[in-house]
Amino acid sequence: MGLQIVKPTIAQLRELIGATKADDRPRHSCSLYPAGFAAGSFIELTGSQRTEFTAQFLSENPELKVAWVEESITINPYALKQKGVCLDNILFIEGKKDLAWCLNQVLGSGCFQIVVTENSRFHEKDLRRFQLLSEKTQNHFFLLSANPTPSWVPHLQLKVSKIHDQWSVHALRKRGAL
Amino acid sequence: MRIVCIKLPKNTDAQAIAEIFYRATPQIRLRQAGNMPAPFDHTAIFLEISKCHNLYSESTFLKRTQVTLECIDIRAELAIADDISTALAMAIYPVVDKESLPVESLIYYSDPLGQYPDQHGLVVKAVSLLKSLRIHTLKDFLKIPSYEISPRFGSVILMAYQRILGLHDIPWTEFIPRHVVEEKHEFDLAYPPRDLEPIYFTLRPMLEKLYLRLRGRGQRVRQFKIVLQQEYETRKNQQSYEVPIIIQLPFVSVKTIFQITKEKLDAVVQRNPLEHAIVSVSVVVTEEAPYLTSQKDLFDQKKEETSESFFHLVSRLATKLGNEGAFFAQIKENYLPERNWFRVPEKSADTAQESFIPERPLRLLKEPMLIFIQNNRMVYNRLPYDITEWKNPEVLLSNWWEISGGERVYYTLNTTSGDNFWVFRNKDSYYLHGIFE
Repeated sequence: MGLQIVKPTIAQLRELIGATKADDRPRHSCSLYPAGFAAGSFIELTGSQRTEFTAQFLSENPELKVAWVEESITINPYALKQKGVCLDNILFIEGKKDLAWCLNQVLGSGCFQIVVTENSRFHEKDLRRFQLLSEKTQNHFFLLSANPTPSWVPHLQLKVSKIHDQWSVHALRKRGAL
Repeated sequence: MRIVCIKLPKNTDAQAIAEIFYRATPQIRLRQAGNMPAPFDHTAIFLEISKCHNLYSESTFLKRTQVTLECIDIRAELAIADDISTALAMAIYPVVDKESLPVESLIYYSDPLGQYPDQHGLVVKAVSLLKSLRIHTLKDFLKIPSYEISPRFGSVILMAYQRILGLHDIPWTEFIPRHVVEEKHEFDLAYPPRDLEPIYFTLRPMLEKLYLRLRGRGQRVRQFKIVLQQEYETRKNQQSYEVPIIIQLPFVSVKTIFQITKEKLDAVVQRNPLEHAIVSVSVVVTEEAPYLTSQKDLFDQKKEETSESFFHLVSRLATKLGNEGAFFAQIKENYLPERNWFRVPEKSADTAQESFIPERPLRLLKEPMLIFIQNNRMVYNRLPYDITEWKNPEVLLSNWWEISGGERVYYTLNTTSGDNFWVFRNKDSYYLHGIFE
């Protein structure tokens, strides 16, 4: 009889010793990611349908105030509207060379529940600052990247794609209670 | 008729202060110092408020006026009476009723608006004559029969006599607010400031005054510029130092406007330091927008604070990034993808009907990008993509004078990598216009 090696995950080990903390942060549901997203989380989305995934989340939570920050605006509000997103609650910001400053202001203001931006090769320190600010003001920070960043900062990295109207959402990495 | 007289310090710009009260009444007349001899040279504003008794009582109006003037650091004497002359005289001489006014007040009855300095000598001479006759108050003066006034003291005093009796009214001309709203403060040339700190002390009441002036005419500031006049010309031949400020959204308090201005001035001066001392600072309004009143929500203080911080944020972003840096999107039905939305500074009601336009890509390039497609292979961002399918053909006609004008035949390209592109063919060339991301 061979020896069976049991490899429990860190989460299971934490549960065994009673070290898991109950996450009481409010969560917002998403049909494409049933676990939903906890407020104050840093979510990095990669994959070919990352913007459509975000649009889907926004259309399911129309009451949330959104800041859509880009270096140069390429998002098409008309297409967002076609996806069922309510544009009344979205403030678009074209940050140009001051993108990081804009994100700091937007995250620090506490006026928005969702902040969406595109990855424009942010420095690790910037990402950490965004994470702390989003935790402090309890908003969802969505970073849309073509490729997953090697940074440890995002709480959740998702790779999303859609083939023949079939969504595929794959969690590349989870950190914390997410 | 009920007239409120606001007697201002001599060097005050009466027109600017009057604009603040334009909201309370359109019937305004001014007396600007500078024409009359020293003891009788006064600056005053006259407001006719008798038609507004349903909006506010006289005592409320006086209290609110006092508070408004304190906000802009102005100490004024207020008086209320049945005519302009009495209101002015009572603002100057603190008496309870008209008849107790000293006989010197005839100067204000003869020329309450300070328009006729030539006749001042005649009135002064008549007043000294009356005093020599032991006539010290208007009560004594009114005892003289009217038919004796003209032969003894002249026609000017007769007119004053009739004004005391309420027989000779002063016509109300139309009050026209200034076209350009500007506030200027000149510093003491002996000690002109070399840094921004003393400027901030003067800037706050200037912004407050500007805000109230615009509020008076139902407007709010949308863009203004701060002009710092330097003592000498700089190397770049620029004596004035201009800093534009954009207040994107309404309902921003003066405190917020001041904070935004301070932040911007600090940042600009840090980047491009002042070379000489500052001799004057001006605030010039370059764009106005209608002031939309809204009821304050007393029961939801948090909502009020959130709105204020939101307006603060947007104005700060707009000041840093420019007019179109922070915006809302307004949808417009148009087949051309670059024309079916536009930027608006404030949220407005969505007028777009149900969309009959085929699905558009979530990413739209600012300018269509010329790409090469050969044997179902395209290159974008230096990466090759193998096309598996050309679908959803759509023909759109654009303006012929544009670079990619004329007929555009759009296709959605599916690729093996899962990326979907929106390209169009125009005059045998392919352009990438959007990405279904």
